[in-house]
Amino acid sequence: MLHAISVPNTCILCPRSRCFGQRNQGSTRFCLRASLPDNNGEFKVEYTPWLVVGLGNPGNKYHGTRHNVGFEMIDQISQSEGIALNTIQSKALVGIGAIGEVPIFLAKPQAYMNFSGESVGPLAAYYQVPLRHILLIYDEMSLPNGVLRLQPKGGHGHHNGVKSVMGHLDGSREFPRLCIGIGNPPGAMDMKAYLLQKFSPAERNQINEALEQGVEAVRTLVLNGFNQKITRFNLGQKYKHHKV
Amino acid sequence: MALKLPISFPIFSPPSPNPYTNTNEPGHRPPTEIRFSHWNNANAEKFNQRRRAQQEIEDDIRRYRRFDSATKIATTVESSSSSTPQPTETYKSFGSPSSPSSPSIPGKKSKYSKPPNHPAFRKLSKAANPPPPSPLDKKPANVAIGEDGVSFVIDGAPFEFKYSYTETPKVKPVKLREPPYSPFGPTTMPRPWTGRAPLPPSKKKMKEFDSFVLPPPEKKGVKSIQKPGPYLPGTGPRYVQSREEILGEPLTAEEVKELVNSCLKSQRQLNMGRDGLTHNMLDNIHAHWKRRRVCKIKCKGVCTVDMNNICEQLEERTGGKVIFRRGGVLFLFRGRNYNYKTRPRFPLMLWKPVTPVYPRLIPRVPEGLTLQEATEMRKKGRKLMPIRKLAKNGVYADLVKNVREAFEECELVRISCQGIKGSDYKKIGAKLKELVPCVLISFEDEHILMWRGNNWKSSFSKPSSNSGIEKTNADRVSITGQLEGQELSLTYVQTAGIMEASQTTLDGMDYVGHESGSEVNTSGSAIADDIKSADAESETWTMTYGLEHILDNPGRANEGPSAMLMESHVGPMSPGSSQSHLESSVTDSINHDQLEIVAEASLDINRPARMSAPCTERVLHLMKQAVESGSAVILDDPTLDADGIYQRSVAFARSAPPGPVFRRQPRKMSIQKNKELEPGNLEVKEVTAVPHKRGYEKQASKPRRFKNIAEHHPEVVPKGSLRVDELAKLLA
Repeated sequence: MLHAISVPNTCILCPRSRCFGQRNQGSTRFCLRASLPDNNGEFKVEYTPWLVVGLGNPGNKYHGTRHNVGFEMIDQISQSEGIALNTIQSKALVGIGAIGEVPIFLAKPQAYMNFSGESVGPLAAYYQVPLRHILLIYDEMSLPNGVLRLQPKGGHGHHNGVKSVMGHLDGSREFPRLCIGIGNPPGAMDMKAYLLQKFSPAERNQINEALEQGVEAVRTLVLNGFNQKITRFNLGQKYKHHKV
Repeated sequence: MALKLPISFPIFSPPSPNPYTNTNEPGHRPPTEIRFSHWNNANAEKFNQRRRAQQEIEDDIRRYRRFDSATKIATTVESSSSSTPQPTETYKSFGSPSSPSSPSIPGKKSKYSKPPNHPAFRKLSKAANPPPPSPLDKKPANVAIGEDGVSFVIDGAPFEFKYSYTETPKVKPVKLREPPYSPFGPTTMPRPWTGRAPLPPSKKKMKEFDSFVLPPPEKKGVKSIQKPGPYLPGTGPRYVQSREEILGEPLTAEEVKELVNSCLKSQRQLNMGRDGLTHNMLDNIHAHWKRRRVCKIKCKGVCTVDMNNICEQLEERTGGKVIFRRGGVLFLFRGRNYNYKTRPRFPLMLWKPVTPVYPRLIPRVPEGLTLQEATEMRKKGRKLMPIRKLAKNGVYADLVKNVREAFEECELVRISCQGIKGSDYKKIGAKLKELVPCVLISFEDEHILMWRGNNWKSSFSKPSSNSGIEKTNADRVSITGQLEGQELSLTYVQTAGIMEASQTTLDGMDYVGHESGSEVNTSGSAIADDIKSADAESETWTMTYGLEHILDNPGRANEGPSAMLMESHVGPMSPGSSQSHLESSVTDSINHDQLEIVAEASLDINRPARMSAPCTERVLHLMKQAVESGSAVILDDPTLDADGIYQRSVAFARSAPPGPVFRRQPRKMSIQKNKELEPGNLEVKEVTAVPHKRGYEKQASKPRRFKNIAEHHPEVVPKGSLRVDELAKLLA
């Protein structure tokens, strides 16, 4: 049992800046958060872990429906970042990994949509993820199909999943979200039927594009937080169908 | 065809009834003439020569007139090319004099005829009625047209008067449609012009309205008047003249809140429409201010495109202050010392001034474009999806912002104006042209198509190359060297297949392993060793996968990659040097079948593979604990589909202990705790990540506030029921 402890490694750790744990109190209890200036010296990357949750209904029956775009986004992220979703914890399928130097958890709650909070809440609490680092990904009917929007906080927009998550996160709304637009139900169609419908081929293409763009956005968010790039992303998404 | 023959006399004359008629003797009757016995016998009418003569005369007159007009037409058509048009003379037709039908018995009154000397027909004047007195006649001598051709300058007025203060285009008009006249009423009349006879003067003496002297509240017949104010404690109403004085001190936040709340639900409001702030609206605002402190103005339609301008103009022209703005609603406060008696008086505009003619909004070839480009754009624009649909009398306050944002994405922007009047959406287009600087391309199909122009600059700064960082990092994977604190992007490496990735990482690791001085063994475990022992910073995510496959390759008989990992790890994590820890795990037990260890292994490998940030170790730990305590389970079958996962999670959830409850943190406590925990222990020897369940309750906020105050102001004794703001007032 030869332990080739590479001593230089520990030394390398030293010059890193100390932990400035004042800003967000709760999670920093045992979290040694180091803010290291990036190579450019411009952005400060926070190393607090992110919990990225995609809302959806479990089971094959709901696979690929509009309400499950959250799951699809998580799948896309896990594919592109190479994070395996292989753990079951707290009624959710969890994968643990990182983007850059920031650890992230990907979670797909396996409880039905309006009980999603029961899995997200305990998960966040267990890993001591601060509220501002819980990214919720869900479908949004008020946005046109394929349009994404990253918000630092917001309401539930009559989405049962978000409502339940908010309820289990101690009633707070100040967690960031990635809303994926699916458009309004046409005419007088029943909302629930619309949500549990699968995408049409044209919409499917739009959504696939959107998912790829979304992965980029999540990466930017996790590495740099909410800055002008995110605003730019939001604007670009808002007008992406108005191009000629 | 014009008759060229000058016809002076009728060509044909009526046949004379009697060849023997001797006109010299009107009374002479030929012997063979039929005589009727009755005087003025109705039957004798047609034989009555005089009657016939009148008829004849009338016929003659008509004939003359017909031929005269024909002659005139003939002659003017000839000389029309040479004659100059007479534009100024407007021909007024006088109509043909209509004589009443004459009674069958002359002199007899009947209901079908009027006596010949009826006053209505007495003086059939050929001249038309004199035209109604034009306003031009009564124009007061001191109204002049201002510089831009649409404003009026009156001596003694504080500013130039315009018809609309917000909607006047900034472009100078090309010409006026008519000769200009003053839109203000005649000032020579002592009373306002209403177009009717003057009313009898009322006997009641109207007291002059002074806002500071209010009628007693019990007085009947008096509409409600709000008191002047609001006044800061210690001040009162003052008679002042200047604008700043009238406004008084700036309103405090409480006063503003109070005023706004009182006005939100009021029914009285002024509406501002497509003409914006008109001149007469100023008077209306003062009329509102007579009785209420705040005037509520609702703006709808075209004018809302530029709400800022509206607020500016309102404040400037009326002297009030805008205290609240939401969408299209404005609250205008009159000023603390406003008195209706001393308000500025302007002449009202009684009619709209002359309509000016402005140059075309959209020339066929807009500036900066060639005809081809313009047609190209128009063609493209027909297929473009509009960014917004404008409602007929909606509020377009954020239209400018949206158009600017849309220009970031595409150079052409289309707005749908279905349902809006043509003149309205053209005005909107003109305003957008000035505000968002852009070039209007077309108005077809009730849409506005705009181009951002050649001089458009994006409002975003050049995006800093975050991707650049990642690229450079990816390069360094292959580059050996001291990898101190470098983040490596996994993405670029990720895109290659996992096998390839593992290859590259292997290579990379080989190098690094070499550097760090560990032996490079060919066995799978050894390789794993190296990789583990290699520099933590340089490891990418793919390494984990690479690891799995590496471990697989040597052909261990195990269930799956996760199992491999499981075997490779055992034992507690040593702090700081997770590598050693993992090495031990690798070289240790190979055939452990504990699911827990699987979890730990995967995580441990992941963690150091990823980065050496301390918090990841902690996360790792937590996951390990979770698995140990039975709250988490690793799925060994990666091909489990959604249903399978669901079944398993349901089954597992039954046996797992309930998780912690998420609580928002009480701030004060954690600050102190953080201070305690301030680590100097990045070089921590033992990661004592004691699993800590976050279950502490949210502290009550009120007692803490009191604590704060007590700390800062020990001289203040907090009384039991005293609220915080009252305390603050005491301290202030």
